[in-house]
Amino acid sequence: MEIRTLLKANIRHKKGAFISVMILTLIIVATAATALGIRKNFSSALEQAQEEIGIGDCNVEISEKYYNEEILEKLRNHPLVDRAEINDVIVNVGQTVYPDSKDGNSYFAREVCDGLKLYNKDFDGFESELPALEGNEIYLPLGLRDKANCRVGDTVKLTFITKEYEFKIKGFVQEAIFGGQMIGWKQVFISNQLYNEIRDYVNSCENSENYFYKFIKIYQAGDELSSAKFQRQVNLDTGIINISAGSLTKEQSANYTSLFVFIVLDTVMGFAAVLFVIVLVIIAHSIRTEIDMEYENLGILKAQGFTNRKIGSIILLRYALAELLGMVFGVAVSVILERTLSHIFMGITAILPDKGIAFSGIALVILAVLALSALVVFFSTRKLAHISPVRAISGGRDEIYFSSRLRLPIAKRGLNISIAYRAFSSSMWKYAGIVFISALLVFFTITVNVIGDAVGSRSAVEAMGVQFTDVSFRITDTEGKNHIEEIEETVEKYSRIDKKIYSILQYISLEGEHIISEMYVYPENIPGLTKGKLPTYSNEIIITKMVADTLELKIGDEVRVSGRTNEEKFIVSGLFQSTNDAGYAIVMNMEGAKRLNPEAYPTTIGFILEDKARIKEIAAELNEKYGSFGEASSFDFDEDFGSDLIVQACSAFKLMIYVFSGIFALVAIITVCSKAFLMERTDMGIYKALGFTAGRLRAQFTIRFFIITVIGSIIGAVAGHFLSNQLIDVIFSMFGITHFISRNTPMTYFTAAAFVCLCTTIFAFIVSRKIKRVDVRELIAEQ
Amino acid sequence: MKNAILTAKGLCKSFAQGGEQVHVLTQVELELFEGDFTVIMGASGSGKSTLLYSLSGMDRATAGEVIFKNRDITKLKEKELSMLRCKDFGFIFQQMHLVSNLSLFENVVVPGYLDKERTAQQVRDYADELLDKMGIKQVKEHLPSQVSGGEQQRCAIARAVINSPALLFADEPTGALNRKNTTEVLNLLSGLNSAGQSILMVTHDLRAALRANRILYLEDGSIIASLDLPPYSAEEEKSRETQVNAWLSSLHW
Repeated sequence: MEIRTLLKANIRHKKGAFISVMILTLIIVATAATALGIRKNFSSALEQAQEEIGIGDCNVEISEKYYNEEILEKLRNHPLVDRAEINDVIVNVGQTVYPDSKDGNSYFAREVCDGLKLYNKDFDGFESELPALEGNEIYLPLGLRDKANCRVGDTVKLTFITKEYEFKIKGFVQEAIFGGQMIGWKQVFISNQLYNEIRDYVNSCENSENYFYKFIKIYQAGDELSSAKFQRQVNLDTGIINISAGSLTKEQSANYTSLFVFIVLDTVMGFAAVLFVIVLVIIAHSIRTEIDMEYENLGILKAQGFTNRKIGSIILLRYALAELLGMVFGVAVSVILERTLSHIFMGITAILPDKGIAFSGIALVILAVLALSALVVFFSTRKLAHISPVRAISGGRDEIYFSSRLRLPIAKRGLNISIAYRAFSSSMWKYAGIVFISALLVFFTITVNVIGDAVGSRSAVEAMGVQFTDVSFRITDTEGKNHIEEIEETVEKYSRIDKKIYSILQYISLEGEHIISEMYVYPENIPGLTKGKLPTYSNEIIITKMVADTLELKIGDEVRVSGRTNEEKFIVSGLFQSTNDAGYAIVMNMEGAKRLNPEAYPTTIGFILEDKARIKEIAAELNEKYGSFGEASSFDFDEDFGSDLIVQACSAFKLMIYVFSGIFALVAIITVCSKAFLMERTDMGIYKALGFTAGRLRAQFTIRFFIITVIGSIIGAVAGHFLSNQLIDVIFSMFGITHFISRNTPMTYFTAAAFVCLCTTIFAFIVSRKIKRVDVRELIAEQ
Repeated sequence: MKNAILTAKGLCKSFAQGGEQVHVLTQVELELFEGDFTVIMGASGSGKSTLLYSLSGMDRATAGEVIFKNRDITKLKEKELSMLRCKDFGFIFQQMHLVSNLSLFENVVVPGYLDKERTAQQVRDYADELLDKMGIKQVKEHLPSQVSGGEQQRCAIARAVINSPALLFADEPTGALNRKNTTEVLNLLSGLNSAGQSILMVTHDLRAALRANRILYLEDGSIIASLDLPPYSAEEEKSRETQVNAWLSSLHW
């Protein structure tokens, strides 16, 4: 009963701290519960969608040029294979043209299959049935809606060999194999009538077997092996993957579909954890300050027989209650947030998420928050044992200030600054919490600045293995390989060529593992090498860290590499990083590529130019002259890369970190400043009585917190300088970038530190307005 | 004929307490003169400290005027009041109220630094002189928590006079001190008064009141009596005590 009475009184008198902890817990729980909810709902929906579409453990696209009954027989007789389903598809050439955009990825046109689900017009559910397509109608996977910025009713143009077909988008479907935005290849669904018409047209052309594909879904007998191991074993025994244009295991499909969303969610969870650490620091600071301020009252309670444990329990209950309320509201908010954000992520995953709540995850978060808070309260309230009832009753404890070694004299010039510094230096430990919080906030804002600066820097992005060319020409007809020199000459009319990037991007098998391979004519221009040497000889390859880890390879190892026709041995000469297939890639030179396929020739001719001013004109001229066997495009880093999904995600993430840092700086400063203000009412009163104006005192108070955050910012900046790259490596390794290259400038650190200092200073100034409202006599009479 | 330094006319002060108005000062009429050592006495709750705070501009009166240098300080803006506290008035508190993280020397120089007419060196020199006069120069670098209550109060006096105020207010300056320290502090105040410093002091202590040349008696928020005395001298303290005692007895103190 006594605990309940004191608890009620405590909450009543400490509403500010109670509400602060409640709001902070609300933010953290809402963030964590939203992230957990989205993850759970996407995962379960994706699993179900994969089941409905009947995804194979291994899904292969094979050109009819390489497909034969013998290989199919081998496949069917393989002991690990349960069955294989085969569908006919026709691949397009060149770019798919939308009203507002173009897409250079391969589209496999096919008839409507089982397991597809048509999204309703609000994209929050499915239509009860999938109407049959008529005429030129087409169903697109939802991933294309946002990527290509197209809507139902829009016209989309696909070229088959040389003939362009116009389709009208009838709707968007859930296709859980290639449907996600992070997967380049797409299956699109057209009417039987038009499919037959295109088939007849392609059949009438030369080399038609290059455009007819078999889409094969291979199912494992049992589920002993992971889909990656299953595919590898089947490939080693049958060679089916070697001859394919590309393959996707069930796991890869799920990983690529959810890759971006999970990276964002993991990062958000990480940030929520950091925010929780800040909350714990605030709680510890509040309790310690409270014990200082309430010394007399607590002493009186002890004199009346309250034990340290009982008093500690009251404090614990108060914080637990605030947190529980925050949790309840946080979970409620997360339900709304989850629905909204799921909708945004849906455009990327192309999967309609379930609408459940991640009860077990949320329960775990709640338990962790309560347990860690209880631990912090326990350690912070140990100070209660030092309270002497006798001293408390006889007028409380005197404030003891120690002479700090960092003491500077009070000076007439800069009086406000010197008094503010003295207030800080004479009781530095009181401000350790706010120093820690500002250091943490600065560290995180520096980290996002580092990401932002690197992503915005062409040289940094290139050093991380992302190759940009100012003008490129993609050869879609073999005739194109005979015009490479003419293309070079055309480009050189406009500008000197700095670098030539001539390459093929093609799946090949490395030790049975189907991996995307970049093959370069000029190996000296290969980007992203992190260790070893570039593959300058025809028997050398370089691999990513992910490939090295998966296949347990190291530099100097000999490996078997299989193309569609040949198998050759190569030596691993180095490690590199690439964003292709989320970092699961290898590189060799063109001579190496010819060992696997003697007819290999570069399919993409890229140029890095000295003068980038006329790249659009160059692309236009190339298209005009050589458009019949290829397609030219220009790339402006600032304009085009800026609209890239990852760049936008980085910008959104940066904004989110800044907003959260601002909010936390606000709450932390309000909590800490309010306590500091209460503790220093007497000093404020004395200064006022001596003739200091409220403005001067506010300035002193603000300057003090500015000094504190400057110190925190310096610590945060140093930590950011040494640790942010490591942290980013962990985040970016999920995209395939294992060795993050930063392009930090003094501004990278300054803007982060300035932001946190500015927020803190402004908030401290706002909080200090109370000084204005308090009368001198009232302050003095407090004693 | 003495010059009036501060005049209160019809001074009233009320507080809201438990939903009711409590009138602490009612129509106080008062004149303080240059060079005087004036003491206000009265029973607990008579409004002595409230009067002191209202006259010194620490608190605003509910009604009435306080005229200082031809200006009604009750009408001054916050900034002007700050200036007044800094340059014209000095204040000594019962609990000393030194800034705990400043050394004794710094406590004294800080208000001096607010005076733009003096250089920092002039302020420091004068602070040294005052601390020497107060007998605490040897502990001037100590923090308040490291010195005795008497030393703290002497420091507070030095701080109160660093800007050579026209009027020094003291609210029970000896209330928290032992007998020895009380005598020392009172001697310092008497010394300052002898040097021409006008002082208005609130006290309960008869010994402190004997230092005054004028005693005002406050009852129920009004000054009901006053006693003029000759300037203080230690030799005549006994007879002075008898006189004041008799006067206070007549007021049922």
